[in-house]
Amino acid sequence: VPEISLNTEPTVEAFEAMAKNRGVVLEPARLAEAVEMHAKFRHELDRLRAVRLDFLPPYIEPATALRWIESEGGLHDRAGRPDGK
Amino acid sequence: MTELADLTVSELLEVYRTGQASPTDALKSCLGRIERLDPDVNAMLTLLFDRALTQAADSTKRWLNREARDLEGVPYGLKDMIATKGIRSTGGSRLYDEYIPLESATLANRLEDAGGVLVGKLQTFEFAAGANSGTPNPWNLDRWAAGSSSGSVAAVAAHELPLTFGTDTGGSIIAPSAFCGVVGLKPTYGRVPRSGIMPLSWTLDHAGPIARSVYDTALSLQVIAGHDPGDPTSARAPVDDYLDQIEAGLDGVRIGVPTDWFFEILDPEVETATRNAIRVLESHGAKVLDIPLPSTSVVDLHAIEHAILFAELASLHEGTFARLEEYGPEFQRLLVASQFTSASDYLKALRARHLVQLDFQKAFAVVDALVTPAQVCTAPLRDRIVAKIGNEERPMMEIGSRPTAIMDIVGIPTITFPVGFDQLGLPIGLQVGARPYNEAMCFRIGHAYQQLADFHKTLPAIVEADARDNHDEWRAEMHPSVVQKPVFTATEQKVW
Repeated sequence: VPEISLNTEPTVEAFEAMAKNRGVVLEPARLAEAVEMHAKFRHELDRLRAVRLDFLPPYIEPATALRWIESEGGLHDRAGRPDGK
Repeated sequence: MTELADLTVSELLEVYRTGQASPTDALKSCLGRIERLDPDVNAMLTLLFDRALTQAADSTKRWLNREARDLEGVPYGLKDMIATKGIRSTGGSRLYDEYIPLESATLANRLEDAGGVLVGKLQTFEFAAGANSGTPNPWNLDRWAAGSSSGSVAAVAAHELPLTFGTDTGGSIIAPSAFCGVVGLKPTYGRVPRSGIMPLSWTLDHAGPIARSVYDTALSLQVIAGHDPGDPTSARAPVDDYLDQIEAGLDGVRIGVPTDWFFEILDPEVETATRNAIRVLESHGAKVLDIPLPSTSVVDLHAIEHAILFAELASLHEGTFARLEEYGPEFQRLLVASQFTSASDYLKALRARHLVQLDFQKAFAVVDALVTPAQVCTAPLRDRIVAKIGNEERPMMEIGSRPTAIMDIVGIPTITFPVGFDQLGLPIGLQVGARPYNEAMCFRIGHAYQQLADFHKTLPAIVEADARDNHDEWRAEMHPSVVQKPVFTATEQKVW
């Protein structure tokens, strides 16, 4: 079930405002190209946005993926104990 | 007649050891092959004639003095994302076409310390992204080599060099290796330090070797793997002896074949070759199990890849964004589009990676390795970069990274090696992935396969013709000390 339901279609106007906010000046053709590229992947992005990640434990943080690799794929925790036991 | 340029790394080390040939002989054979084929193959960006000849002469002395190191006298090349002290390191971009690093990347230093002979810096897509078609596929020069490690892979496929190194963020070692019929290894994230390697995406970038045998990739990973304080993300986990179990065979090895994602969009010829290879593994002792990866139907892997790549790329190139016009057209499009990835999407992508990892964790509780196709199709035409899935054509940039980007997202080690050819004679690669830091399992399975099948020994037609017709020794006095090709970034293709 999607967490949010917004009209997320990218527009030239929205991108222009975002660029302006960052102090980036882009020609209209470049903005249009960027919108086109984002529109191509928009459905995929909406699917990602709809993935529910819990506020409560077990936490998944931005760094969790790299810690998982360090743990040999969940074989042990950071202290070297097997599988977090 | 076999030329020295046609030998693998381990074969070269054996002829050096037995005194049948010297590193200088081998280097000259490689330089001759480069001279004859590289005008068409275009794998080389910067050729280091004098430096390589000096290094090879030193290696020859070391073999005579019994002081040979692990890769003594082995000619190799580096993707031009990898910094080399005193040698132009461009990232495949005009922005850095005169950049001479003051220090080498750790990977380059380790290869030099092991006695390798650096022959050249190799073509890459600009900053390892986009779709530059400037390096063709040695199996058919009208076909695409893929990338971004296009030069590294083409140099090995064309037998210009026995060993090269590339980087992989969404499939930049595995995909071109599969298209060009060579062996490519993407180690575990952090296994090979990235210090001194131009980044594309911090949390997804990997560096690894490309060779013509699985054994050679194991030999070379042994040299470049291990923690480096200069790269805070490099792994502290101990480095295995990668040759210790490589001959152990397939008895008792449990192989998982994913029932989700990897076989959903796949050319039938690639699927047939993949399943045939799995049958070979099974018939020689491996136990094969179906493995579900349910998260792949919930978490959009392309979105994870794009959100992370765009956000990190935008940050990395923030300082040079004002010089947008100096980038190639393909990278310009990427860089502009990357400005519009939100922080929340980026963080969601980083977090959602772990959901996919949990599927792999469950898989590795019951199998030792996952076996998949390495690409969805065989190499497309250079002037029409589309994926042919049976009779259907799909945009390459939308589906081409399906089998590979997921492995970068999860961060596990993967290897590809050739397991067949399509009706056009284009190579097909298998991909084997294992638990983090278990590169040894990838090597064990890949090496066992290469003892049973010899697809990796088939030569591209241009190499076969060259080996048959040309045996003139390359003569150093006829050449300049260094050749620097101009950086080529333009492409007519609008693939992103």
